[in-house]
Amino acid sequence: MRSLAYFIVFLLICITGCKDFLQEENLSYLDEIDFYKTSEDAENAINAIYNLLDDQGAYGASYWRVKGLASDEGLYEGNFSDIATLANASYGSSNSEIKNVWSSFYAVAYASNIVIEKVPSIEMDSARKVVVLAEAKFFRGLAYMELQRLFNEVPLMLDAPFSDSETYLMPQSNKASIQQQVVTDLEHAVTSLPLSSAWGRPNSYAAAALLSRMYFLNQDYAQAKKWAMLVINSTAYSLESDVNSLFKNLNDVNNETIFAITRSFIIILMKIYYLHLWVGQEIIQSHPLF
Amino acid sequence: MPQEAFSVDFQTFTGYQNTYKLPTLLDGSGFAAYQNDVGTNEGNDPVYTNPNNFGKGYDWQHQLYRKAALIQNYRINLNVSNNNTSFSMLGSYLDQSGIVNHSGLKRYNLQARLASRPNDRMSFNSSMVLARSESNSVLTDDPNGYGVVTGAYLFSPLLGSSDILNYHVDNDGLPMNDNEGRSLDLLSSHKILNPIALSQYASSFSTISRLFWSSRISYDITDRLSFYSQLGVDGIFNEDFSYFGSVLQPELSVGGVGMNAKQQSFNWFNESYLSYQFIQGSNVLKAKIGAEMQGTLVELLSGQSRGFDNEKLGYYALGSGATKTIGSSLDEVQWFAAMANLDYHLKSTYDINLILRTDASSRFGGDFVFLPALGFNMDLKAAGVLSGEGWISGANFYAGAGRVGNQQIPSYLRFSQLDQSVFYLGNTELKSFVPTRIASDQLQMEISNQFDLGGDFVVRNGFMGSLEYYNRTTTNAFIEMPMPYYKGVASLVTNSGVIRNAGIEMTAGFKNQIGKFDWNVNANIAFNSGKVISEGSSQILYGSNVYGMNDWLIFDEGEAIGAIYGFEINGMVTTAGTDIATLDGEVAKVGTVSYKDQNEDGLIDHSDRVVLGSVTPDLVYGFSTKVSSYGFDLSLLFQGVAGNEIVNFNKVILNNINGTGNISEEAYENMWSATNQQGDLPISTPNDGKIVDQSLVENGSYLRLKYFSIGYNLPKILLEKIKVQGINIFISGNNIFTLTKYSGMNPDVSLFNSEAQNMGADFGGYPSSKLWSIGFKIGL
Repeated sequence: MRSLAYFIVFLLICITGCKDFLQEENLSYLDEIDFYKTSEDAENAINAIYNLLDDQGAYGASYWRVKGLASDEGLYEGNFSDIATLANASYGSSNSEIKNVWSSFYAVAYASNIVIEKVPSIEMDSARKVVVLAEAKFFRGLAYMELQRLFNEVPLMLDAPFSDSETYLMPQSNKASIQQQVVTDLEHAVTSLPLSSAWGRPNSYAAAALLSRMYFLNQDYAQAKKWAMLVINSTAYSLESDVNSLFKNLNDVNNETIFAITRSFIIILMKIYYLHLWVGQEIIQSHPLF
Repeated sequence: MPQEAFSVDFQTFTGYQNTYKLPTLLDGSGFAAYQNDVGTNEGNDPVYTNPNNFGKGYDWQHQLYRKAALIQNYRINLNVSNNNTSFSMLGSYLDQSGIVNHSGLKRYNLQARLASRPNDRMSFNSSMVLARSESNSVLTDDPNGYGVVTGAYLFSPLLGSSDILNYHVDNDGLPMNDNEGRSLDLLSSHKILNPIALSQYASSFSTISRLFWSSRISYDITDRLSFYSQLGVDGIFNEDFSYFGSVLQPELSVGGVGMNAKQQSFNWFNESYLSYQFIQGSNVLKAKIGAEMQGTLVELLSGQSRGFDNEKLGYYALGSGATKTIGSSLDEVQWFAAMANLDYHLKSTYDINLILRTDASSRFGGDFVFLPALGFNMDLKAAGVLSGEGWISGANFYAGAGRVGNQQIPSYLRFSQLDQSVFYLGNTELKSFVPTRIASDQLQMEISNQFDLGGDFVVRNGFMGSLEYYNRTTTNAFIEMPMPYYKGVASLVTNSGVIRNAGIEMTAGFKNQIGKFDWNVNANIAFNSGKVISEGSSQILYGSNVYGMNDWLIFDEGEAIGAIYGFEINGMVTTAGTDIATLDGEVAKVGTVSYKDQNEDGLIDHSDRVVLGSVTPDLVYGFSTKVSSYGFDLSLLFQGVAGNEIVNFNKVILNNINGTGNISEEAYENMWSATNQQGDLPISTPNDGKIVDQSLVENGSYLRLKYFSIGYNLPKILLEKIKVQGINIFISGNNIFTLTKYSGMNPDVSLFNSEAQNMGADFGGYPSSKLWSIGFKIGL
């Protein structure tokens, strides 16, 4: 009987002392709780947006296909139905090119929201922090401007949820409130971004030019002029004398380039067409315990 | 415990394997004629003036697969026992060449078992396994079609083994070049490599070493109270080496890629309990209380290196490459359960069993779930329901219900995950971190409620059988729920599915001697119906990328599990310019396939897809028989499945009649043309033929003679002369005969090791093989 008593005590100790044994900690990947604490984290977070802009779904490919084929700028002679239907306007709601544009710009908006939400509490150089937040607002403004122009009334998500319990469904917002948010974000960018910036990063004039474009396409010409004059009067940019030179590859960066999405030459060279992941995956999948 | 005994037996067999079925592809002259036809269909002049000049051309499949892949196997088994201890040991060695050239497997295995009863109170059992396998493999099952099997389908028979890439040739067999002098690839968007060269220069060698040990001890503390404990440890070491030679990338100056990955996993398990037994007449009450716990740890380290000046050393010399990348990861999980078990055996007739247990896993934050179960068994003869005098000599009836838990999901889903990328902004290298997964912080263990009802019986003449009905409902199944994109991630694992599996399992057996023949027959059949009762909020499309096609499986309320989702075919378009809706929105061309516009909106798009079948079988059955007489014995094992469909993605390659790669003979004959209006294969398809439609979905039912053997036991008189217990000589075969309507090479297929995402997809998988062997067994 005593051994039974000892055993039950052993079990009770097991169950109560078990909590430690039953906790898990991911040592291979960072999660949100460990991250967004240092100035490097802030830079890594803002850099993510640049990578996302060049994605195949955004300015990497699909954006140009959707806009170029829907208008008269592009012609498609290939075989893929999801691209062909863009040209003859017979696409359905599950067209993959359109889906890619939607998801890629929302990815940019999400990455921007993360910076806007997390960076303010990071201890870092205050001047740099202002610029980082302004860049994020610039890109959020850009993303929603594009989304609104392509899809009209879209959900205006300004939070960055990190867990299932923080997520919720959002309704569509109307055109006016989306554009109002874009204006707020871009105006903040105009005042807080530096007048000149490193290659590939936006500066104050880029934000002004973007605002001008948005107002112009919205037929608010007074506002469009106001912001355009800001850029013109700065004399930081000027028009090329030969219009034809604008369409030449070798002249892709010139006096008229206010902001550009860059693509790396080096990455294209590194593309090899079988995957090392094949073998890595074999290990993981052949593991008998999983 | 057995008396003193000692026995050794040794068994060996050797045999050869070959492919079970291969598609017949066009030969050299056939391929040239086909290229001409495709050209004229497009309004061009024929490329080849005399296709027959090419003759047979190069038969890629014939060169890729071995005629006879040898296999040899040796096994030795040793048993020693005395009054209270028995020990057995088994050692085996297998050397198997693969049916694809340059592939093969070697396996070493040593097992030992010890059982001992040192005294009346204690018993001790231990077992150990030491195993190692080494395999050379070739690239198959590649979802992008780069593997050797798909390469052999596609590669032009007008080329030869020294041509690495697949290109057009002219009348004289010389490469056709474009305006800039580059060779015209046959598959312009997609470089297919010479499958022979791929099998030679893309080498992959992997080893798995395993050490497993488990012991159990049982100790009677008093005559009613006993203690039991079992401990097991399992260490598994995987190594994967691969090298992709630079000869396979002629236009890139990268110089080969080598990879070396090691995975170490350690798993331990313990189960301990105290058991109390109380006997009163013919009633027995047993109570058990105890705990189970388990832990698993997996470490992975991998390194990759590219740009070797000298490729002689390959994957053992990664340091000499120009660019190196390293990765590592750790995965741990722990699990604990406490349980109490009560078993009441009444009058040797009724048995009532109650299990109360509570489980927790580190994957769910250590939250405990309660999993009770109740079972009931009645011996019908002892209960008087059955007299036992008649035909049926004994029978049992049982019923049970309970809850079981499942924790099989990846670890750490309760945390978000940030992934790093390195990229260039202009010429500046930058690092970035972005969340690729948000935390499923509400995740719970998956719980299934199950009940079953059944019985088993024994019939006088040696017949026995059983029948069981089961019904299992999982109310919080793990689902990878698609998320709206404004949440930042595409999907999230949640507990929102409800699925039900119900079915009937029957077994029957017969064991008796009829005349001079000893029979031992077994049959089993299982019907299963797996259905989705609720899918969370909306239908979920899954099915990972195969050759550019994804989302070909659907998880939807009311549908079977593993439902295939694609387009239904409405026949061929015979008159142009009609108002037939097409996938690319253009005017329907004559000789193309027309899909059914399910929602009649005048468009063919993804909302016109329907369920075309299910990859899960309705029925699984098996039948085995062993009959022996006059020293001969014959064994047969049949296995079959029915009611499942297979998505034969190979057909996207074999039937793609647009001149970009080789096709099967059957496809060429079925090519639709103005003169062959009965043909059902279109001359052009959107998306390069990469569409999941009815034509890819085939009936996957099959019946297979999985194993048969004919053996002869040497008579006792001879054996006594050589002082040997037994000698048996046998001929055996595996997968010798298969009955199926499925046109592909692997009716028992699943791409990627039968994960839910890919089950039922056949694309370039390692071919099924038949094996014939001969061997003998000696027992001393």
